[in-house]
Amino acid sequence: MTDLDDRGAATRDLERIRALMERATRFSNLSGWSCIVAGLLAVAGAVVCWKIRANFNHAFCARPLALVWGSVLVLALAQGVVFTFVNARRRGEPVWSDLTRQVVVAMLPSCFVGAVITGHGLLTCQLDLLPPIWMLAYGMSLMALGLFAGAKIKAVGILFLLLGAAALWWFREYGLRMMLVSFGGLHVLLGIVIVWKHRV
Amino acid sequence: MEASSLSRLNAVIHERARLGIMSVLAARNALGFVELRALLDFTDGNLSVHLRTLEEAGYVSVEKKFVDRKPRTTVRITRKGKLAFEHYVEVLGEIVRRR
Repeated sequence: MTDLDDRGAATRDLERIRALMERATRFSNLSGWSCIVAGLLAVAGAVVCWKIRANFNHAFCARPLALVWGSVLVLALAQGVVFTFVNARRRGEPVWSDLTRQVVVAMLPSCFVGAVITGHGLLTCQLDLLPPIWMLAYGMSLMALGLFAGAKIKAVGILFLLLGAAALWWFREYGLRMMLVSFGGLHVLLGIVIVWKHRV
Repeated sequence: MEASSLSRLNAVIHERARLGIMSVLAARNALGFVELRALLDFTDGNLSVHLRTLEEAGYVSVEKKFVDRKPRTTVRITRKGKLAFEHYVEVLGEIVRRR
């Protein structure tokens, strides 16, 4: 009898420990607004490219494309960091915690792969590879982030991977449009969903 | 109950609130007081009392410093605390597996 009681109590304790450990490793500082801003920056990048006629299909456009999308990346990262830190502050959490470090480390390998292939694409003038590679690498890093931040992020990660694959196989000549749909559209949508969910 | 295997469990960790604190710290290593309180849904006083007990056992270290002239308290699990928690979970596992 005592043994059975013990076993029940121990099982409950283990379940509680696991639930608490899971809850403690959820990364919830992502900001919906930051996501929307990132999407709008991508839209702005695409518009600028259209205006200056910089196209992923023309090998001579490497420099303007690198300039425009490099700026978009830097601006998006900077605002993302600021929004995340502000969120953490508001919750009274340390801005750079062990958890933040784990999240960043998990996302690094896919960023590295993206950067390596981007460098190769730029040097060998295979610019039409860049949008699909960016979408695929970004999709992978979102999957890594999703391990900490939940199902919504993972779902968007999967969409990026699928869109990236489609862009590579079928829509190689529509680089700017694919950038607009993925980095622009998906970010804005995800941002709206996050903001909406926190409101309700 | 005295003879039961639950009595083999570490009494400092076995208390419900302290087990919660140790579980969260085992997953995160270090946490701010405010974040810890929010995760566990404790009151200030409750959390302080149990942290004191854990600190006296040498399982956690509590560090207070000022950031922007506001006090910020960081709670960290010690090596001793980690080992004790791992051992505690092992004993629980043994109890569950025993036939």
